[in-house]
Amino acid sequence: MKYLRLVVIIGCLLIVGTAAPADGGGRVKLGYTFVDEEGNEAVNQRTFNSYEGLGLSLERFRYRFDNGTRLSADLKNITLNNRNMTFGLEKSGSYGIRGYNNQFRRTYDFDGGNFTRRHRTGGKLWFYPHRIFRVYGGGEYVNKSGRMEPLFDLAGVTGLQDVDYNQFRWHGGIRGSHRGAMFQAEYHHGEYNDEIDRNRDQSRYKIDLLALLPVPGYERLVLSGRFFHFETKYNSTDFKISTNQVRGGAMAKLLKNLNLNYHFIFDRTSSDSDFIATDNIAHAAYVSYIWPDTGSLTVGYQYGINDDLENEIQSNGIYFYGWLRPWRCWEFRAEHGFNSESVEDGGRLIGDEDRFRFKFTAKCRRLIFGTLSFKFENNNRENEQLGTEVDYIRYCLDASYMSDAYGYLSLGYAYSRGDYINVEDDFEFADHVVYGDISTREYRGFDAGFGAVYYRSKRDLDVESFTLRFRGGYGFMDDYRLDINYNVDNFDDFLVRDKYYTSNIVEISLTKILSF
Amino acid sequence: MLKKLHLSACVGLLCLLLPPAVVLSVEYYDRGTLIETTETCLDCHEDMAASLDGSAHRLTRSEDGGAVAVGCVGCHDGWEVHLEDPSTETIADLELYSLMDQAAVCGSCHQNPHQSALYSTDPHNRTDVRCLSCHRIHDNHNRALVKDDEDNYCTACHTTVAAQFKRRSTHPLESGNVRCIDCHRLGYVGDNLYAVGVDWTCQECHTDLAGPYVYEHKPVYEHLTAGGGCNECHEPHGAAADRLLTQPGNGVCMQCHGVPPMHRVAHSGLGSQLACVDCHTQIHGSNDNPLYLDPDLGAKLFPDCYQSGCHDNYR
Repeated sequence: MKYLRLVVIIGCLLIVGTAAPADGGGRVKLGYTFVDEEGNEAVNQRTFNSYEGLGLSLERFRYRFDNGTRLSADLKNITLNNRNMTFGLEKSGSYGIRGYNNQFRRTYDFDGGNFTRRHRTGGKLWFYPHRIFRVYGGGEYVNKSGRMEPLFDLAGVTGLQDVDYNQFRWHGGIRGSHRGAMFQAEYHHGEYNDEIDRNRDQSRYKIDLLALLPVPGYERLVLSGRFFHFETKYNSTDFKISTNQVRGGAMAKLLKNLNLNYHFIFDRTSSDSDFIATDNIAHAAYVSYIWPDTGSLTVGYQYGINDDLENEIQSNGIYFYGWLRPWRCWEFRAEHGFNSESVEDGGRLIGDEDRFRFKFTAKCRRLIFGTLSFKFENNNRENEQLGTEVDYIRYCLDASYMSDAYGYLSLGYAYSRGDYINVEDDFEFADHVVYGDISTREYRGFDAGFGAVYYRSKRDLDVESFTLRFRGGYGFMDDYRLDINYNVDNFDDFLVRDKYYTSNIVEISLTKILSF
Repeated sequence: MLKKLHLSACVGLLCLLLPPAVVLSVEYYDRGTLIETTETCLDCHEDMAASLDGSAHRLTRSEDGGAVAVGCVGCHDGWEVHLEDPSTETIADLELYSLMDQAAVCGSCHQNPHQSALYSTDPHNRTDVRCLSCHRIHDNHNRALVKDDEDNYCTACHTTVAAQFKRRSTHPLESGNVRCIDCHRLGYVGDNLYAVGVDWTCQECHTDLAGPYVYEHKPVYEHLTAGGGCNECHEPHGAAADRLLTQPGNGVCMQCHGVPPMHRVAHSGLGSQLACVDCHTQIHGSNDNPLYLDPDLGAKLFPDCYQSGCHDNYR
């Protein structure tokens, strides 16, 4: 009954909207989703938030009034539990209001009876009391409730855990900007309420000041600075922890194509329960040279100190980055960063630590035909004292093709491999992801599409899952469409007997295309 | 410590005093000039007004009451010459501008944390990602004038990240319940090497796990400005193991800890036959004991052990 009323109200609004003499468009969609599931409903994440029932959506709706005020809305599945809605009303240079609401379910047991659901509802607004000042604020309410299973319960004794908490956050601020200079002051406040254990109720607040200042008379020297104070407090005990952080930097254009970038952080985090505080100091400087439209090279250095008064860790990092466009459509990028942390005073469990990362990208961008890209990434972390190491490699090949005559095609393959040398029980995995999507252009009102994702996880894991998406549509009477979407999802963990899942989800929808 | 602090501050201040070399070139116009010149532009480019009408850059008319005015010459430099010589070469085309020049033009109005971060500390700055790489000004009705209004728009370039969201365990990006900018707030991101506040980003949604705790598990609340924190055990984009964990089972614990010898020998090695978090359930931090043990462990798992008094020291 509640949904029926909603459908009628939105229908009336749309009729009024189409009659008004203004500019806009959008889609109203009414559809029914059929869900047929078999197996363990706690294993396939893509279908956690799928529901059977009648769905009403208002998608990509926009409406411009004659005075320049714009109304926009994207309200998906208003009548179902997987609703995801945003809306906005704004006028450029004057004011704006935006809001959103969505919810997500995560299931934990075989038949889906135990689940948690997270709701997010929030909004923000702003206005300009003067052309150089913007006043803004917003709030968000988050609630998570339900019943969850612990991840590892080999003994089967930990049992289900009830979850029921909510958090309300709000913020307000003012920003002034004038001729390249900007100052912003914000206050954030949050209240966390745990309905299961009131002793965990907390209050948080943050004061955040930010400034940007071009040196008068010189556009290419810009100073930036930020201060924030962040505090969390348990309401029942007044136990609190706080952080004060100062950040700053300068960006200077020394020569026509030579830039210098420097920034620093001074940060102290402390608790009132003892006399220990953790200090972080960091400096980073980069020099970049740009050959316009051809390439650039950046070299950087970072120095950091982490000191909790008992232990001191110093770090040194170097950074290289470059891109090159030797021909019009081809672009190459490479990045290398290395960071070495050493314990200078005291000690810590993981001892000294070295990290490096390397990335390489080659991309061909032909605007007429689409794009082709290849990426390689390698991340590594090593702790000699523990004898542990993590080595992580990724490749990704991605291609797309677009044609006005035929339609759209995209294909991709991603491989990731992780080798974890632990203190005990090493672990390794190799993940393969193949994905693709093809859509035809409309022909005599008909169009069709097919998409697929195949995932395979091997070595110490043995998991296979895939998703197939078939879709077909028919446009009629100028502004109506009938669409059918058929999704197949499958999941198998071959190492655990009860971790399998198959679903067939069909959505049939009728869409009215709005244009006024 | 104090000496290092002073040294760091001095280095910082010295760098701030580096001599600048290039002179200011951005023009700022008052409201009247913007409206007046726009009328002149529209004499020839009438269709351009329509291309901006539904967007935040709707050209300001004299009767509009908005505090901020938008006009053609606010972005398109060289209009004085263009009036005399109306060829395409004489009027500024922002698409052809360099990163810094685009940032300067857009920044003449859009002075905000997003713009300032991209102008200075954001890694996009070094990768030659310009304002118009992501935004299109004319003929665009998308939010914030991004070229593509899809929620996972960033993945058009970050393809390896997009593939991570197709793994076994992920944040719900593909269902639209979270968006890239929920965590990667463009106005607040620090440098690539400074994963500043990564834990504070996580705790905005996962407040129940955020602490502070009387007994903090060090990697969870490392108080670092670089790395560490939640990402030590979880891969936020997508992981091969459940719950976004980098390794399944006891693997994440074994990154730093071995199985204690007594777990192997006492009571026929019972302690090593269980998952670590069967007993150490408060692994994100505890207000009860320094080993992050379940406060109700005695009652539900090993009542005899605690009632005998043998293990009181571990609680």
